[in-house]
Amino acid sequence: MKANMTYNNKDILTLIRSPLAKDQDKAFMYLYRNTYKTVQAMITRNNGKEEDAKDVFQDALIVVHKNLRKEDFELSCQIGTYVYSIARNLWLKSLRNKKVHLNIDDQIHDFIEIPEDTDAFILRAQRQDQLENMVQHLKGDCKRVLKLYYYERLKMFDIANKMGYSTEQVAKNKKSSCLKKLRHLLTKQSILQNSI
Amino acid sequence: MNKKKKYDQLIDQYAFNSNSNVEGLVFDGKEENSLADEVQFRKKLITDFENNEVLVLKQRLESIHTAYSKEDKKKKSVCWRYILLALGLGALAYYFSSKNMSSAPNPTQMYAMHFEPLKMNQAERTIDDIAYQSLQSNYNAGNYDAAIVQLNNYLKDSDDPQLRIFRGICLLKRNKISEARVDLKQVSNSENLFWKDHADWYLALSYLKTEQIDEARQLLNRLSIDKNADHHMRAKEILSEL
Repeated sequence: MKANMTYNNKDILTLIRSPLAKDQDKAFMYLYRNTYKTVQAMITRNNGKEEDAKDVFQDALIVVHKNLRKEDFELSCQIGTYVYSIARNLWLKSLRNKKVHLNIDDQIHDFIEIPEDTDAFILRAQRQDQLENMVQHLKGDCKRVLKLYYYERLKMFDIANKMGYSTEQVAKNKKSSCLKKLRHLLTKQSILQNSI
Repeated sequence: MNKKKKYDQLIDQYAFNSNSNVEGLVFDGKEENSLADEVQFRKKLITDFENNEVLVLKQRLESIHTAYSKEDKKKKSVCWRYILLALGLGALAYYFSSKNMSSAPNPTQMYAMHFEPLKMNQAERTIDDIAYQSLQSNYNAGNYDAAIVQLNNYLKDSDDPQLRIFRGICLLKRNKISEARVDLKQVSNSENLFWKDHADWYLALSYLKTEQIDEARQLLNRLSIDKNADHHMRAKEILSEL
């Protein structure tokens, strides 16, 4: 990706929604080049360090990634403003958690109001102990099918197509058997842990 | 058909709905504990997928951040290179311009370049004696100390502007500038227009030597305006250099 490449909202949406990580990374790099410095300025001028700016910006990009991938999502402002607004929200929450009360200097960039629960998942992810993560027990097709269904929220018909299954029913059966397997594995593990 | 299979779709609906609580999950009008448990299980799976995705994305973003930082550093270093290059060029320009400026003589150098003692034989003189011939030879030979002693003798009893000019020149040569100026100013302020030009010229040179530019310029201006004045051309030349 050339440093002077310009993308509009539509280009960014296409890149982020692409199944290829390479395309998504192009969008991330573009956002880094065009928005990172503003977010960094907002954070370092408001009780934060460069390391905080890096973490908040990355979390904001993850939120943007998740929201832009929702089919019904509509971007009502420039992508840079959206990223900045999410980062601003995340930083305000972080300050609130540290019991620091600051009014962010909003001369730096335009921003929009972000719905309260937009970034809840990222804050949850920061708290979660990875050892408790069920996904680590999933492998191969089970991991793929369950991810397509529960994370990508694809319909069974599309999952069957993606996985190369002959019918939608095969996908449904695969999903059910994978859930059963996972549950069984976790029960076995918890029995084992309790016995230890 | 077991219950989970029967209510599979409904369980997923409850699981996808982040607002649904365990209480109030109704399956065909009944609360089913085992099914509510399954909803929680799938909810956790959804959250774990999200968290896992966050982790994977974080790792990717970490390497993007590194690439961006490198690019930014490079951009900054290129920027610095341009700044340094500009500074270098500026310094060179300054060096050459100051070299050019220094090639223009400073006032003291102008004094040295333009100071030439007025020849005594060139002067109109009516005194015709041996003592004067001795003074003339001392002066023209550059024996200014001896010439000053002789001139002092002459000027004890007379107020000859010509001799005052010569004594002023001798004193300038001996670096006795303020004493020289007394003689030269006296002639400059006199009514003697013939010697006034010489007096002003040497006075102006004395001011150049002490870098009193305004005083020098004032005297040189008069000589440069008057086309018939002695030292007219050289006064103009110095003024153009000042």
